[in-house]
Amino acid sequence: MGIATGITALELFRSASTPPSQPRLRLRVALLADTATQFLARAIQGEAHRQGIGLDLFEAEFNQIDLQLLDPDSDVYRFHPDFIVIYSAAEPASVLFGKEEPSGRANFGEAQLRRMEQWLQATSGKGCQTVVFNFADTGDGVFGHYGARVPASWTSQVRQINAGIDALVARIPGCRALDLASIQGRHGREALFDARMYFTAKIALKPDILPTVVRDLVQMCLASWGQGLKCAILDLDNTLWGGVVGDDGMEGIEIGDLGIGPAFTAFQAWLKQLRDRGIVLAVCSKNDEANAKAPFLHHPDMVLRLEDIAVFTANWEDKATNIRRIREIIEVDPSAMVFLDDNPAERALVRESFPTLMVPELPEDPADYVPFLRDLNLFETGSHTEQDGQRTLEYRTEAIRREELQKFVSHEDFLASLQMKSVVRGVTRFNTPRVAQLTQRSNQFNLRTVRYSEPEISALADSDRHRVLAVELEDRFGSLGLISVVILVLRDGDAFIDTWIMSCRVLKRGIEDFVLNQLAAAGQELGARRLVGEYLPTAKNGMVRDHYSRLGFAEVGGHWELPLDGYVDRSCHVQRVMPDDSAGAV
Amino acid sequence: MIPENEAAVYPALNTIFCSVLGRTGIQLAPETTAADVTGWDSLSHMLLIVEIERHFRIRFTSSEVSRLKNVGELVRLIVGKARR
Repeated sequence: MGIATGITALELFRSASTPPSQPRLRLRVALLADTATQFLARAIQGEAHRQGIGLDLFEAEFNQIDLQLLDPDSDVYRFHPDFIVIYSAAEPASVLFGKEEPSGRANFGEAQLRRMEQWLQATSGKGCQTVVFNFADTGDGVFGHYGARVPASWTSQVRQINAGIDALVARIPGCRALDLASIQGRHGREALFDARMYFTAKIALKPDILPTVVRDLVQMCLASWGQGLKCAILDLDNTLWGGVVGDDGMEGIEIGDLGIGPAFTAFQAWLKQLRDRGIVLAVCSKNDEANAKAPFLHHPDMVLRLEDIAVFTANWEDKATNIRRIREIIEVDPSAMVFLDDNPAERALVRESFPTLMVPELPEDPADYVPFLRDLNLFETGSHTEQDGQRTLEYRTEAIRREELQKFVSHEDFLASLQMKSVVRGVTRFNTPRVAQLTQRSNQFNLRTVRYSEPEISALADSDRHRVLAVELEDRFGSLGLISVVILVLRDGDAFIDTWIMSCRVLKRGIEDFVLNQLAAAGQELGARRLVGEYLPTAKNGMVRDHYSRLGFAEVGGHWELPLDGYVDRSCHVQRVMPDDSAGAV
Repeated sequence: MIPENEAAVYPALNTIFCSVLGRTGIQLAPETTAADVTGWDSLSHMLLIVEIERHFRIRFTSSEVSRLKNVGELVRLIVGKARR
């Protein structure tokens, strides 16, 4: 049985020959290794299919990593991969290490890292992302536990290599490490490696571990494609604490030291880390609201407090209805949400109402919640910025805005009351990561869905033909941060709108009109005659199908045009202001 | 499971082969070789070995894995190991 994935390698191999009939996206992946990859390749193919991905896989010949990666004209690059996966295994390296003269062994890791650096540098800037496996750490049985103190031991060298890989991928844009050492730590050497398969067929990953490895690999690819999970919806009774708060009273629930409370405390402490890393937490509970909120406000042993929850729904309606309500505020696709509930009936209902929403079968014993969820590795991400942790606060403010909106008779009056102010900047050192992240994560309000890495965004900033506008918004309730990115490129005398992305949090506020005014000004500065827009449909961006026609563009041969000569600013409720720091304003 | 005799191994082997190779109706005989069974290549051989080991709770050595000539030899090996 596949460990933690509920699927066997055999089943994966079978899915490899049945591609999804309607793939949600297509990826091109190139695989290079210094061991035999037939099993790994078929498992990657199978996992991609299971996740609804159409996969074109390029499997390099055995042991061609240097040859393929260092030649800019090689088959790998001609394949134009979205992802290059490099699996240079510890097992062949450990034999090379042993054959070295004792004097060379202390420098073995350094030499290996220099090779890896060459590979990663070579792939960087080729328009793809690269995933490199780190080394499974086995100890050496030569120095025993003392090995870590001897630089010329395999134990020391493996650890140096793994630390070095982490440093390399942090430094070289577009590179990431797949932590095989950690997978082995969780599942054991037995699950990962079969010496007979290795010595008779050069297979370094045993079928038992393949479901886990390829699941993580595909999730890494999806995450850097903007398809990671963004929101966790939590039940309360017997999920966040033991017992039923309505019956047992706040003092009677199991959290902290009471009963099996330590298991729930550990679960909350894990969720708290998710919240801090930018996963939005929402509560969906069948409860009286005051009862449900009481522990968050008053129980001394609760790790999660009310301010950690972006949207709190506790009532007696069915959970599907409440999830719809949560989605009105946290505007993410159900496929970016996970639902955690101890009750199998509730899970079944949610699964039926939202087929793409992730609903794990939580283990019966709460003590297993954290190990189980940790092994599922649901929250893979392709990027992280300091601001991610602010997301909960932003959605909480949004919930207050919604309540405020009810008080106004007309929408226009509401917009005027918001006192919206916007700072529009170009690309700066500080906002580059967030601008790139928005291009990677936005799927719905995104006209052409072009993904940019950080170095690519920086390069655009230096181009005379391009204008990048990063739009930040605040209103009287607080800051909404970066809410829109637009990229213009001068093409045949026209300003072509290469990218127009907006955060769904600011829909129906007339922001489109404000941004168009900024675009027109930027286009005129570039000396363009017209703005030219294009809509490239995807499975998720149907909401902007009529975007350009709504803004008065005329359709001409599949494109949308708007003359800049005599452009009159569209009215809107947003006031453009200069940034406080006045650094990097357009 | 511990097979009574060589004949008792065949039904279990047929099931394992069908499951690993994703087919139905495979009927193995002592003289069957890899060339006679569609899909029985060096890679699926590894998977077959893993499943056979799991089923009979035995373990083949590296040289046994690479040396087997036909199903008859495989069965003899299974019975010998399972009885030990």
